[in-house]
Amino acid sequence: MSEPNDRPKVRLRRASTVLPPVTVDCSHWPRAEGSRARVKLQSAAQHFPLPDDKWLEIRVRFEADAQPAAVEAVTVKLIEAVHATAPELGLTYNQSRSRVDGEDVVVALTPANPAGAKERLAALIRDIRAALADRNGAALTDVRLCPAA
Amino acid sequence: MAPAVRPIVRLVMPCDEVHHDPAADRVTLIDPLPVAALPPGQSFPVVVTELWVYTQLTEGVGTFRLSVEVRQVYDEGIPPRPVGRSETRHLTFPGANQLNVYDVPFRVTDVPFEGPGFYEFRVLADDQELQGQTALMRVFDPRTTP
Repeated sequence: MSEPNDRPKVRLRRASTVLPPVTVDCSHWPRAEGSRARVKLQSAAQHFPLPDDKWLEIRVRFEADAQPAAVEAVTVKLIEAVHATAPELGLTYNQSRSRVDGEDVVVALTPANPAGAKERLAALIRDIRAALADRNGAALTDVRLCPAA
Repeated sequence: MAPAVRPIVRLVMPCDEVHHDPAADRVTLIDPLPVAALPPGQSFPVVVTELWVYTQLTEGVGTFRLSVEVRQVYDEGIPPRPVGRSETRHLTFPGANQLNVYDVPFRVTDVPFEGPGFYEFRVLADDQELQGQTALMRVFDPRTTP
């Protein structure tokens, strides 16, 4: 029998059946007389802030004529690779630190649990590189933990 | 013919939008709304032009007329105020497959909200409330409620 650490690491996939959306027109529902504004509600939920003192930066260089859809596809691919390799880190996209830096697109990911991130760096670089191997026009230029020790 | 078994509501969640990407077969809930605020400068009553109610139904057998009901709920002892009930949609749950889960998104338009408070979203089958989850959404005016 395999040891727990030898077992394949996977991400589960949703297997429910998605039905087409049902549109419900409530314009005939009863309402008090008088004028009223037509609005969209805004979420007011509180989000737990993630610690922002450590993050992972992945730098990818695209060809000058890269299409936005290709950039997005590569970004999704590398985030999936990171999650598959190190799910225990709980890495999530860090919008405030992600940026364009010169010719590079910098994708910043913040760990929910940074313990062990340094030890996982080599595996992350290997798997990110593999994820981008078949992506013509996108080249990995750097992966680093920030701030640098 | 197998006897009908009413489905149960595994999940119901109001949100700003439900997006299904058939190519990737991924479902995204955008801005779940357990608590929601009016936009700046607006006050009750309002008509909410669009929101989505994401539901997951399971364990059913047979064909049912599904609908969504919204009502405003108050403190204990005060009966809820019905806001409205949607038209129905027929959904057939095949027999011998009760472990399957169906994602049924409802796009709800022009919903009247008379005042702040808690609004409950319930899924009904053949005009009867289903067992399982209901969703509460708190709506408030940020100018009067912190």
